[in-house]
Amino acid sequence: MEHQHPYDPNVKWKEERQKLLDEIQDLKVLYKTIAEHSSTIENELETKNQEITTLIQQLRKYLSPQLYNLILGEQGKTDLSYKRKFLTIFFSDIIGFTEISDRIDPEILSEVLNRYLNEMAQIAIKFGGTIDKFIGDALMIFFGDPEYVDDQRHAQDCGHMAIAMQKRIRELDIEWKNRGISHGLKVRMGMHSGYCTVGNFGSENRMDYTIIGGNVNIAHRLESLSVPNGIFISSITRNLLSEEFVTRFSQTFHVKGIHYPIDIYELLGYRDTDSQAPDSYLIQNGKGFQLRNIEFDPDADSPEKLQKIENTLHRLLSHIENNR
Amino acid sequence: MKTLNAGESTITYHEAESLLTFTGSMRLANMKEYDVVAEFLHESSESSKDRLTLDLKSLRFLNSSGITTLSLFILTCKKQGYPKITVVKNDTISWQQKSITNFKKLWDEVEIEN
Repeated sequence: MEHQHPYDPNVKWKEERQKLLDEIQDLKVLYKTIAEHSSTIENELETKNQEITTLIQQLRKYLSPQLYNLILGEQGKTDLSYKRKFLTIFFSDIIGFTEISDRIDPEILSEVLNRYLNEMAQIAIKFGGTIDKFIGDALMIFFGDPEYVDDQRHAQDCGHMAIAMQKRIRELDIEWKNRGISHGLKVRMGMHSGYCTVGNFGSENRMDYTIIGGNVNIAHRLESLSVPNGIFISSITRNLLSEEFVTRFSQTFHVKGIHYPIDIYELLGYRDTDSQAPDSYLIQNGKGFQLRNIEFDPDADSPEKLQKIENTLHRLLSHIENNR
Repeated sequence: MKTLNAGESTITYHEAESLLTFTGSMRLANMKEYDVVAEFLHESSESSKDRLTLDLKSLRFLNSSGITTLSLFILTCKKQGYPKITVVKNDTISWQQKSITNFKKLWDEVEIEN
């Protein structure tokens, strides 16, 4: 067997080689460590970027386009001019809110009111509405600006939104009663479509990006005329709605300064699928009404029929109240 | 006690305990800028006992040049055989979950504590 001398160049070479191999191994691990570290940071960056993009999209709905552009630094895009645009305008208001606020603890009131407004805002955003402003318990929303699709689409989105809101309000009504608000939650809604002036209005220090014009006032008037839990729409908006929506004529309304009267309809829901669809028991005729024979057999009839009867009676009571 | 301010982060060396604490967000621009950090780590390791603790619990962020600097420091210690390294990590900071475990792959004598 060949004896290896410690100074044998062969041994030294082997040692050097081993050292280099060890170093390569270390570098491989180092490289892997850095790559994995970078990936962790990059992935986190990407997640944050996505979060920011989502947040910006949300902000776009909550803020006026002017404020949105200001925050995002797109100053060049800030358009301070006024424009005329065909929009669908929506107003809602809680019935008897002043009375509720006099009776209920401010803490509970602010909690339930914020919850209500937040939920309504979420629904508005879901259907693409631009929230113009919150006025106490009232909401002003419009469709058609800053993004314009087409007039029918805006009216229909607004209709879908209003129906979704009323559905949620019926659930919140129970919650409000459980919280000791005997009034519950009843909301009036109004919708109208027409040309408005879109732009900045206010003082130099405090500007609001909003809409003004006669059509805005009409939408507001329709809301104040509406029955509790009702959605009153003008014939102009009604003409833009598709077949799936069910409406019923309510009254003719004369607007100050406008020589022609406007027909008002109540938006009841969707054809067939909605329990609020055309009332087979109640026919309203101006201030008058006719109530058809109501019968309910718990063994033979469905719970849906009971719901229909309940809705009819609610509707009748509001009709009487409003025409007293 | 010696302190090094590196951008938005601070490294403090507690000689009596052979402890290096890192705080803040370490994001120097490149390897050249990390030379001062490498030098500070080297000097600290010279005067530390047989084990040096790197406490990274409060280091919220470390960029790639930073992890390279720390890794090279661990490889230097490995090569000379001392000081042995203990790293204290914080699993609530996402980059620490994986990257610090990899220190043990660089040198199996590295101890990792939570």
